[in-house]
Amino acid sequence: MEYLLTNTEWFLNWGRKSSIWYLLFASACCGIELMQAGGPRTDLDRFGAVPRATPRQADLLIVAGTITYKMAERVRLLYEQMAEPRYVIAMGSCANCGGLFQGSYSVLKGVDKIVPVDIYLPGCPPRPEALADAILKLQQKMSAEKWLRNLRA
Amino acid sequence: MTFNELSERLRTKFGDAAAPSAEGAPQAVTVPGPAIEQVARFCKEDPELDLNALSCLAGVDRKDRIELVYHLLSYRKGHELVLKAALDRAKPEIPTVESVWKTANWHERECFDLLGVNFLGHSDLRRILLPDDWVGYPLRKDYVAPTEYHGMSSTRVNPLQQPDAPADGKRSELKDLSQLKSLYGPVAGEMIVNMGPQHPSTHGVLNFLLVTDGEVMHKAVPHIGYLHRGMEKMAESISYPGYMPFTDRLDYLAAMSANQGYAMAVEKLLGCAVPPRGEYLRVLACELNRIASHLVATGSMAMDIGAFTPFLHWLREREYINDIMEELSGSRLTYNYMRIGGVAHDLPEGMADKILRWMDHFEPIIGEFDRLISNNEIFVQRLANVAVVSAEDAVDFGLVGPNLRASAVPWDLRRNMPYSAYADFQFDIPLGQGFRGTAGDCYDRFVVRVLEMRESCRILRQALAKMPAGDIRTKLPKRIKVPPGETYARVEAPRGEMGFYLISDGQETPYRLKVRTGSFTAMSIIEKLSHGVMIADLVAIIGSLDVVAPEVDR
Amino acid sequence: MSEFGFGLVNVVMFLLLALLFVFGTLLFGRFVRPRRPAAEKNSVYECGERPIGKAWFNFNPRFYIVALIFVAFDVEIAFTFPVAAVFSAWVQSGRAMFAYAELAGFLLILIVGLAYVWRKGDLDWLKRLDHDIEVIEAEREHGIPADKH
Repeated sequence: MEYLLTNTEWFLNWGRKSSIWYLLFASACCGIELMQAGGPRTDLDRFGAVPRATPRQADLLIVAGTITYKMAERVRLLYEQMAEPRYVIAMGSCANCGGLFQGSYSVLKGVDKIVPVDIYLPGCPPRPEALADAILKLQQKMSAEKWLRNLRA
Repeated sequence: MTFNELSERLRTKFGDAAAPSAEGAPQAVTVPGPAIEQVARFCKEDPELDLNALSCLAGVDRKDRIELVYHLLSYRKGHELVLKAALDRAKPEIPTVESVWKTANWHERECFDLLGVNFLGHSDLRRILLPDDWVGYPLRKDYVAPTEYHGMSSTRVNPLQQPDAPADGKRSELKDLSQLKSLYGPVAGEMIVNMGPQHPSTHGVLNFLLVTDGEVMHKAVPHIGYLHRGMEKMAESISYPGYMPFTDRLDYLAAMSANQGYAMAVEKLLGCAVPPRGEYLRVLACELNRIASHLVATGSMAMDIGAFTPFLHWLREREYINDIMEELSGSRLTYNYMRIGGVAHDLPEGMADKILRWMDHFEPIIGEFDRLISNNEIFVQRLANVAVVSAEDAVDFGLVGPNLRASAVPWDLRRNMPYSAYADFQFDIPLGQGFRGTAGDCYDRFVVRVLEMRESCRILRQALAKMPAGDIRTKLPKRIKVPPGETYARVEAPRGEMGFYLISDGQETPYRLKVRTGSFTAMSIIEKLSHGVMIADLVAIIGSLDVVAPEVDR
Repeated sequence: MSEFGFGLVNVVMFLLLALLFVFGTLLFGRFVRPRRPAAEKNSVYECGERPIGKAWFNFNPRFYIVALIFVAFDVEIAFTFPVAAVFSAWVQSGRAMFAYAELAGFLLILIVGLAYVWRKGDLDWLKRLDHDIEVIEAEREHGIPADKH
């Protein structure tokens, strides 16, 4: 039984990690690098990652760009509207910790104040290859998840 | 007309009420607050002054008073004028000039939002950049930023300084979303839909409240401020050389132009000149950036219409430019290439040949793009005759750059107010002429950008051919104290005039920096253009105006 | 088993397999996927903002009119199919003109209906009353700009 569960879980995780659909959410400069990462040279599509416009169909929220207080509640709402299992990559310094705008009155100092972050990706902006690396690390994280066994137990 | 002639003309009309400002350069005419509307109207309507555009409306907290500075420009005559009005700091009030220049509507809302100035007679004075329930006016000198907003704290534990503090980011700060309310209450009989901050077609985090009847809209009300990062306030606490990376983020697609505008403003106050090679390198960088920016603008316009392929082709071309920029400046997107007094790095070995070879490859591709999309009948039908902006409206609403030129107003800062080394180059200014529809429609704005890419290639070739030898930057000390004064420097960014109004009081940090961007005013015209238009056309309009969120919100 | 019987079983098995593919995977997913409904998750998605007003309100009747016209003409097409199926048999039995006249009469009645609907402007998405069109033409002659409407 354990053997069956582990292998099914491996198979399902393989399916999930090979088709991470990310929400098209681009706030600032990192959004342009996100676009370029989806573009011809660093093609995120080869990892199975395609952009979706609605959080209902998305597995991954890449917070690309500075989040201000005005935007923060909307980001949280978007995150809540995604269906589990859902992941967040905080892309760029501004999403990690407020970045360049630490001294600003209207910038949220890090998106992990509002959503739980799985991968922190430093850079200003991070290169598209770095974003591809973040997606690969997320794939590693996904393949190590033991959710099916927990479901049974 | 020179400043003396302009101020003389104002004095003959208004007497001592419009006197040249007692403080030094730049020259400004001081007007008492209540008289501003008549003076403004005279400035616009008088055939000699003909100051038909309000470039910038800046509010400055001078500690004992609040000063409003109006930068006026005449597109037909080419001269400019600065009006200043001093307001009582305890109760700052001034009549609105919205009836004179329609663009003042949004500028005054911003001034109200950030400084608390009450504009008497304004049709819709409410906050524009900050959330509606924000308390306080950030640009005032005595402003204290709140420690938290809706439960989200404004500080972050620095693990290097406080290694024993508990780790931040427990997602405990935003407990629930009960404070997130709808932007409007329901209105009977109409459907109100948010084309909200997260949308593939709004270029960045912008929100449009669509009041629609099915597919046809009654109006689309823009809401901005989702990316307001307080750049202007931060400039007051960051040193002059240290602010350069921030200017990159003002418009990340046109980072070189923003760099140049800021550097020019500081150089004007310092009285420091840039060596010829530095100027040529600046032109080179700006024109390459212009091509890259127009690639994104036209490509995303095509994508919004529904054609995904040209966008990917354009992204491929943009990657080549990114490679060139990376070799030149070290970064792909936010370059931080220019310094006060010149540029940071010289052209590497073999770079000039590389750029020339890339242009040999790129110029035929513009033709390929034309064959791919520009003459596609569906594309033309979607864009021609949609959202026609007349020349008068374009000037009144403060449109600049390709948007203005597409409405057949022949104004390009590189030609009409040459700065840097642009006077040395031969290039044409493409104007909208109703290529497939009416002058000033979405198709014209698209074609003007494609043609500008060709012109940029011409400038690049000339710049590479005539590049002088020598220093790339004037030697300046690492810590700069800029002598007191104020200036307004303009550059022709890909999205239009980017103006930097810089006030210095002799310290190492600016006293006030106001940035005037093209996208801010381009957003303000969308509501007017959206009456009776279909939602799909609104997408075309936003794409054709080439709005980027950081320019709108700063 | 007869030829027909074998073909029938073939089709039935094929249908069963198709149903199994679809509903089997859905059933498998139902047991395997997480199910955590939450208040915010079930809220309406409107680009990150809260929706304004209700979704149930009075729609413009032109949606109804277009749908009604569509149904009428779709039924017309549906009724011409059986005629097409047996038309060659009627031709062979020598009553081609009769069948043709029947069909033509049926179609003609409906074409008159189409012409009426077209002329009345019910097919235009943005319908203007005749009175409004006259007003607009008159104003255009007198130079009042069109965006005053």
